[in-house]
Amino acid sequence: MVFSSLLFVFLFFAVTMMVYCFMDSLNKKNIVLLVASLIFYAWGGPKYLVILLLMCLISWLSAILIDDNRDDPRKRRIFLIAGISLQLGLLAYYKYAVFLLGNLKSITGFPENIPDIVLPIGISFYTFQLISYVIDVYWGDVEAQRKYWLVLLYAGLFFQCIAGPIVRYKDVAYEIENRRVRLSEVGEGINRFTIGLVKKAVFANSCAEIADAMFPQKLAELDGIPAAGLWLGVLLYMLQIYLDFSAYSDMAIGMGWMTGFHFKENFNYPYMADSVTEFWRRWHISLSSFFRDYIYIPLGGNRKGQRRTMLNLLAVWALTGLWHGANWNFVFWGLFYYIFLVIEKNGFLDKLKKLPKAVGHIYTLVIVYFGWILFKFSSMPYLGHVLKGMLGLNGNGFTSMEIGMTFENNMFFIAAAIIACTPLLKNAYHWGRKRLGRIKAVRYIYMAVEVVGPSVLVIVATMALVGNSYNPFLYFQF
Amino acid sequence: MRRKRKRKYVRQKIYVFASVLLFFALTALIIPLRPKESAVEKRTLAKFPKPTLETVWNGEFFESMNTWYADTFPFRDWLISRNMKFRSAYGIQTKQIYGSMQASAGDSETKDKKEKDAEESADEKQDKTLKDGTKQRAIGQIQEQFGAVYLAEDTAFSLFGFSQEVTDEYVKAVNTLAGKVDEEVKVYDMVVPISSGVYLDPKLQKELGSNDQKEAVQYIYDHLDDKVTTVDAFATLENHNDEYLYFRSDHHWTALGAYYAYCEFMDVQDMKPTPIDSYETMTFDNFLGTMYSYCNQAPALGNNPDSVTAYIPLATNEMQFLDKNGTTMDYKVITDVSGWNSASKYNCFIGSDQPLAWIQNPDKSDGSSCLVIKESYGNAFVPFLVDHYEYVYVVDYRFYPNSLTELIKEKEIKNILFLNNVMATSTDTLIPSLTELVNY
Repeated sequence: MVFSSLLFVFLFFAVTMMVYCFMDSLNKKNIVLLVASLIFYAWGGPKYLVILLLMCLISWLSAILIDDNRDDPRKRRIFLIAGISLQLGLLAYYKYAVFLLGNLKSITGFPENIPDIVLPIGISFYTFQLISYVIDVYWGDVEAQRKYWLVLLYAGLFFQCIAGPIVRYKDVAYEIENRRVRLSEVGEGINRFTIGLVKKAVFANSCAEIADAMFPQKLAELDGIPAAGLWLGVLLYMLQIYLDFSAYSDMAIGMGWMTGFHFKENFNYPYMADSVTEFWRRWHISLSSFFRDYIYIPLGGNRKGQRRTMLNLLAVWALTGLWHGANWNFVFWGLFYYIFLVIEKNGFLDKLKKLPKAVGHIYTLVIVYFGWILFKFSSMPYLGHVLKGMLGLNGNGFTSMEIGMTFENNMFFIAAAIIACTPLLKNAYHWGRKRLGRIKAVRYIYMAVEVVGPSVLVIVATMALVGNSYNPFLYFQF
Repeated sequence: MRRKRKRKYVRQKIYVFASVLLFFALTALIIPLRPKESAVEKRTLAKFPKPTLETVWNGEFFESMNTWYADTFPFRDWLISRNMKFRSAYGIQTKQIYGSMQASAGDSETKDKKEKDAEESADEKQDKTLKDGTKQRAIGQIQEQFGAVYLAEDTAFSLFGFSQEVTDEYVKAVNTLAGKVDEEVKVYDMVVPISSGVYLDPKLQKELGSNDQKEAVQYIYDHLDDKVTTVDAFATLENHNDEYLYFRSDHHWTALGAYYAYCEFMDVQDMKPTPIDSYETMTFDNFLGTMYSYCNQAPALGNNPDSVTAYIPLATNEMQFLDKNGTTMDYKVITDVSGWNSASKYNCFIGSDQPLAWIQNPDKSDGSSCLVIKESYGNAFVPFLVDHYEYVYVVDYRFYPNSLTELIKEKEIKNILFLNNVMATSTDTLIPSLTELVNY
């Protein structure tokens, strides 16, 4: 089940929240959340639930064993390694086996048959959560959770189980068992949730629609798209991927606030960054900080000389790429960023800081823009045709009437989507309240927006989601 | 004090939000409110899935349930049309393209799929033998597909994609029938352009990727046997292209467009067409046709519905047809459809698409007859023929299950007119069934 489906919003979410509100103790509330999460997860196929249960079992056990052997460093270490290897092993099997075997086959011709392994939904997210939990227990940052069902609740909580953010156990350990809901936070949570819903249902989906039209599946058709269409398509994809991904985080954080959880921010307007380094501090923060805390720093970070630092970074970025998908293009995408981060680390960042901010900003956006091209196309021949086409080498001119029309038909939307990627609206809203709040009429407007705004957003999102199911029968009887 | 008031907003906000959520949640649970089909989309909506052990275990069942829940959401059509209104603010949308030319030209995947579907249906369909021992041709589901539609302000134009392969097959089918009938039977062929060919500037057509319809028609006429007399509808329609010849929200021509083509057909036969003002007419407003649903219910069309004018033949308004189940029905040449839904106003003509229809003119007894072989473009055209022959027969080649040559022999038909729109002559889902019919 995805957050941006009508069934989720009006059946699953509505019922869960209703029942949750009527529970009188935190324990019961937690049970409601757990049951809801298990149903949510099982929605994508109950057989995958088994994997989630197993993963949690491994981490629950190894954390307890680590905790119980605090005084025996050797045993502690063994349990850590055993726990993590089992989890990584499962992740590798479900996510990377097909890719690895495929590569092996193309080199050695063996094995002949590559098994058809379906990726269990959310596995990359919850495995990382569980690993961070076990390591934090190992480091003594947090105590092991003795109750299995609470570990399951932590990893499987439907707010963040399938699309992040990657929440650390130590950040929510206290709140799982002792949390208080504040009315004002529920209000904020509703805002955040509905904004996320609209971001996904209206903005991201519309961006995807326009972008997809520019990238037909068949190579022959792709070659028919003129250069301007491809440039426009990548731009829309760039907007789509941020709006889509951050929308999920918004909704997760919003639902957290509604129930008393405080998740860390996962995105901080990444397209406002003035350097690639900064971009990665603003993009999918929970993932980059995971790699920083559990790979980069344990490997020595930047404390072991420059050469080692570069190697550590290389490991981090190859893994970051691979985490996004089991395919070479993701690895290249990670290494692509590695190159720019290394260049920036070696003095370029200082030079950039001396230049006007706009220069750094434009440079960052250009790098990120090309990064998404690598990210989007898993097939190398297809990627080649896209790049060729963007340079106008597919011999179909720069633009066409159809592209011109697509742009004209959507230009206000595109502008709005760009604004939605910036803090402009948010800042204007707060600035207005602060500066103009004394005027009575303005105050009433703000009050109205606060009270009915989220409901209006839900209705707008509903329209869009119903509209998405609009699927005219493309055949007509003459 | 201020803090307290702020908190009050929060409480109200939560109440409003919860009520809206609850309202939708409860409404969505009222099953009778859920639509079963969509009139504008012309399709049956998703059905509630039947769970099996396997589909539940691998999650397919739940996936289908999601689809069902969203697809049959209460007030679906209303919500969709609101959404379309909302989306019309996305940009300047005086000109739009729906569907893609790229996808229509040489999309091998769809073609493969079509072929596969055709094969599958071929397996299913078997000629049936009636009780009295006569055989009938099996009829499959035959549909027409639009490649791309260009919407400029309040008018939708479907664009034309030429297929030489299919056109050759069309020519062969017409020639085959011409070769099968007696010497004294006259065979006519009229290929009618679609609106984009008549209304749009040739340069614009080219820019939009629409093929030249005049060339396509000429290609057909050049390849037809000498026995087939061609009727040029193109020139006359072009001469009147400031008139209401085609619907703006539907892919058909209007009866007025058909009238000009009829005049041309009369001319070829040295007959005198009836002046248009001598007919009694019926007018049906608020017509929103196929293009309206194809263009996602574009408000530009929705706000300016078409109007259908039908001309009642002078001699009679009575007709009969044989429906798809083989039952003979009495019907009207022009039916009053004012109470019908806005998508079906074009059905006022000759009972819409029936396998075989016939009209006897009580004012004539000379044995004259004309058979029209058509797809739905013929419907608006046939009423004009009624006054000129004792019998007019109409065969829809997609649905007529019996032998055409036998029909011609039995009814002693003297004139045969193939009336087809140019799009149909290039459509690979239609012409094979014409081929099948003439060879049956």
